[in-house]
Amino acid sequence: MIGPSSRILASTADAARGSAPPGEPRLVGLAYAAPSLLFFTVFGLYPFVNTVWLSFTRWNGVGAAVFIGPRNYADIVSDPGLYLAFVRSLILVGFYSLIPVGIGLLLAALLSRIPIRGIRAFRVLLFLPQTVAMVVVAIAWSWIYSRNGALNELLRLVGLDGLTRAWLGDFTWALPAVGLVGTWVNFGLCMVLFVAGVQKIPLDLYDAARVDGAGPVSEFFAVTLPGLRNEILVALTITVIFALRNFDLVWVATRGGPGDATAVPAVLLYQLGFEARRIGAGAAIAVILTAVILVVTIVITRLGERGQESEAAG
Amino acid sequence: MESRLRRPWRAAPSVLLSVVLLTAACVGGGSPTGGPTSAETGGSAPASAPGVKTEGWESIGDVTLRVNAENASKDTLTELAGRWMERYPNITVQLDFKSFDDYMKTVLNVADSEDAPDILLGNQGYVTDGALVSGGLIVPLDKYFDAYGWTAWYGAATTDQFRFSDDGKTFGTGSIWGIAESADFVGIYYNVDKLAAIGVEPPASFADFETALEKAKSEGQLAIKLGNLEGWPATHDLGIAQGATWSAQEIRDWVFGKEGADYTAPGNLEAAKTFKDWVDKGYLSEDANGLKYDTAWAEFAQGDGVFLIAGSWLAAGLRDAMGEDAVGFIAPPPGDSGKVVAVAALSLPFHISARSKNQDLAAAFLDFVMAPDKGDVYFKHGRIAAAAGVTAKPDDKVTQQLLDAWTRIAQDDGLIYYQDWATDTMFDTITKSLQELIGGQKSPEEFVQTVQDDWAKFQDSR
Repeated sequence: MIGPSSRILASTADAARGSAPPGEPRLVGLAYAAPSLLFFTVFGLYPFVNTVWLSFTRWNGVGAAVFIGPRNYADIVSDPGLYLAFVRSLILVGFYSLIPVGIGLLLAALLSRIPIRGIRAFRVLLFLPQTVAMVVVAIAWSWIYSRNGALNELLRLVGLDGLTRAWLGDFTWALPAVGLVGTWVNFGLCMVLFVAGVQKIPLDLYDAARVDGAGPVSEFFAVTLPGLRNEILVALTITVIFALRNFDLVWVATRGGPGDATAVPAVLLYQLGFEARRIGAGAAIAVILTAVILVVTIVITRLGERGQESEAAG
Repeated sequence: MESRLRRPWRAAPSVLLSVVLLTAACVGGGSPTGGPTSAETGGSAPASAPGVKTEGWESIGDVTLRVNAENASKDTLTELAGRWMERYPNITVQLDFKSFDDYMKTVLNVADSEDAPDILLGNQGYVTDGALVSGGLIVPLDKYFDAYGWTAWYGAATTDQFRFSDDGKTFGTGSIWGIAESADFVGIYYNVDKLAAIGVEPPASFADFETALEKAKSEGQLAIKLGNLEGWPATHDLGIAQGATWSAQEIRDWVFGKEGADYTAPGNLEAAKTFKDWVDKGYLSEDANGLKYDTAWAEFAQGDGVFLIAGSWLAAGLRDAMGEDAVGFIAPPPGDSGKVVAVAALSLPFHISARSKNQDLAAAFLDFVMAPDKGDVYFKHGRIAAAAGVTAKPDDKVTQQLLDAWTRIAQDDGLIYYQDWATDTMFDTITKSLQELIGGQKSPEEFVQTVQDDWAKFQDSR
C-alpha cells in the first residue's frame, strides 16, 4: 500500500507546491481533513454532546428524555460511592501505570547496558500481554487467582499454605489482584517504548558520563532518564487513561465485587446506565470520568513541558 | 468457559424435563372453558369476548407475524410456530432469537422502533417491563385472558408478576401486560451417595435440613456448595432461609413495593441471621465470594458438597453430569408454617406490541403456544409448562422430583419471585450486600437495612 500510491500523492503535492504560494488554500486543507472530521463528528463529537445532554435528563431508554437539570450530578456528588470508586481508580493507576513505568525503566536500563542473546525474542515475550484481548487476560488470571489456581498451588509448594485464598473473592486482596493483572499487561508496552527511546540517546552522552566517572546508577539518572522524558510521558498518558477508564478487566474478573471492593467508575457507569437503565445518571458518571481523564492528561503533559523548560533554562 | 447460564438470578431452563402437570390449588378450581378440547385446537374453546377475534385465521389472507425472543425459548417456539403455520398456511411466523444478555440490552430499542415485532419477550420488574409499559410500547392482555380463558391456566401469584399500573410505576397491580409459558424455581439438589453416607434422608422440614447441614459438617463434608463471585447465586441460598422464616405474601408485597412492606421484618432478619450462621459454621464453600457459579455447580457434579441450592434450570446439566440416580431435587423444606416457599417465577413474559397491526392474531398464536396440550413439546425441549391442565407425565426420576416440587410450590402459593425486581438498582444492592454479609463486612442487621434503604428510596422516587 505504501509504495506506488504514496509516491503519486507525494508527486502531486510537489507539483502543487511548485505552482502556488507556500501553503495550500484553506479549502483544500479542509477537504483533506473532511473524511476524518466527518468520522470524528459522527462517532466522536456527536455521541459526546449527546452524552452531556443525557446527563441532564432522566431517561430509561424509552420515549422522550425528561430534562431535570443538574440533579444527576447532585445525586452522584452527594453519594460517597463515586468518590470511593475514584479512590480505587487511583490505586489502580499505581498498579496499571506507575509500577509498569518503573519496571519498564528498569528493564530498559538493563537491556541497554547488558548485551543479551536473543534480545528480540525476549522483548516479544514481554510485549505479548499487550496483544491479548483483555477479556482473555481477565479469564486466564481469574483461573490463576482461583482457590485451586496456579498462585495458590505455588504458595502451597513453598509451604505458605496459610496465605492461600480465593484472591478475587477477598475484600482486601481483590483490588491489588486485579491491579497486578494491569501491571502485567502494561509493563511490556512501557519497556518497548523505553528500549526504543534509549537507542535514540546519543552514545557520546554515555561516554561523557563514564569519563566523568558515573556508575550505572548515576548514569541512569543523569543520561537515560532525562533522555526518555518523552517516552515516559507517552507511557504515563496511555497507561493512566487505561487505568481510569478500565472496565473489561475488572468486569470479567470480579464484576466490581466482592461487595464494592473493585467497583471503579466505569463499573458504576455500566451498572447504573445499562443494568438499572438510569441512562441519565450513567451519562453523568461518563461526563465526570471524561473530565477527570482530560484534567489528568493535561496535568501530565504540562508537567512534562515544564520539566523540559526548566532543563533548557538550567 | 462461559456457559449459557449467564442470566442473572435465573437462567434459561435448560432442563430436560418431562411435562408438568400443574394441578395447582392457586389456579382456583379450573374452569369449564379451560383446558384443551382437542389435540390441535390451539388452546381453550374460544369464548365470545367483545372486540376480540379468536378464530377464522385461515381466511384473513397472507399475514406475517414477527416474534422476537430469547434463546431459552428457541426450540419450543420454533416447533410450535411450525405446527401453527401448517394449520394456517396463509400465516408466516417469523422468529428472531438472541442470547439473554444481548436481548435484554436491545429489547427496549427494538420495541420502540418503527418496525417493532408483533410479539416480544420482556423481563419482569421495573427495568424492562416497567419501561415497556410506561413507554406505551405494549398492550394489556386482560381481554385475551377473558377471551381465551387463560385465567384458568394461571393463578393469582403467577399473573401478578405481569401486572403494572398503566404508567408503569406500580408493579404487581393493574392490568396484565404479559404472560409466560414455563416455570423457573429454586430448590435443593443433593448428592444421593453423600447424603446416604452421612446417614440422612432428604430433609422434609427446614429443621431437618439444618440437622443435615450439621451432620455433613461433623462428617467432614462440605454441606452446601456455593459459588458467589457474581453475587446473585447466594440470593438463592438466602431464599431457602427466607422461605422458612418469612411469609411468601410479605415477600411478594415487598417485591411489589406495597406500602409498609419491610425487608427488616423479623422473619427476614431471622433468615439473614440463619444464612450468616451457615457461613460462620462453615457449612458453605469457604471461597464462595471468589468462586464462579458455573465452576461451583460443575464441582458439585464432580462430588464436592452434599447440597447445592440452585434453580430448576440446572437439573439437566447436573443429571447428565452425575447420572439420574446420583442426584436428587427437593423443594425448599418448609419452616414452621408448613408451607413450601421458593424463589420462583414464570419465565420471561411474552408481550404484544402496541404497534402491531395484528394484535388479535398475536394473542391467538400465544394461546396456541401456551395451551396445556402442548406440554409434550415443552417436555421434549426440556422446559416445564406452567399452564394448569397439562396431562403428560415425566419419564425420569429427577424430572418427577422437579414436577413434585413445582406442584407443591404452586399449591402452597409459595412463589416469592426474584428480589431484584423490587427496584431498578436492587440487583446491585442486594448482590453486593450479600457478598459483604458473607465476607463479614456487614452484619445481618446492616444487610437487611441496606437493602431496605434502597427499596425506600426507590418507593419515594417513583
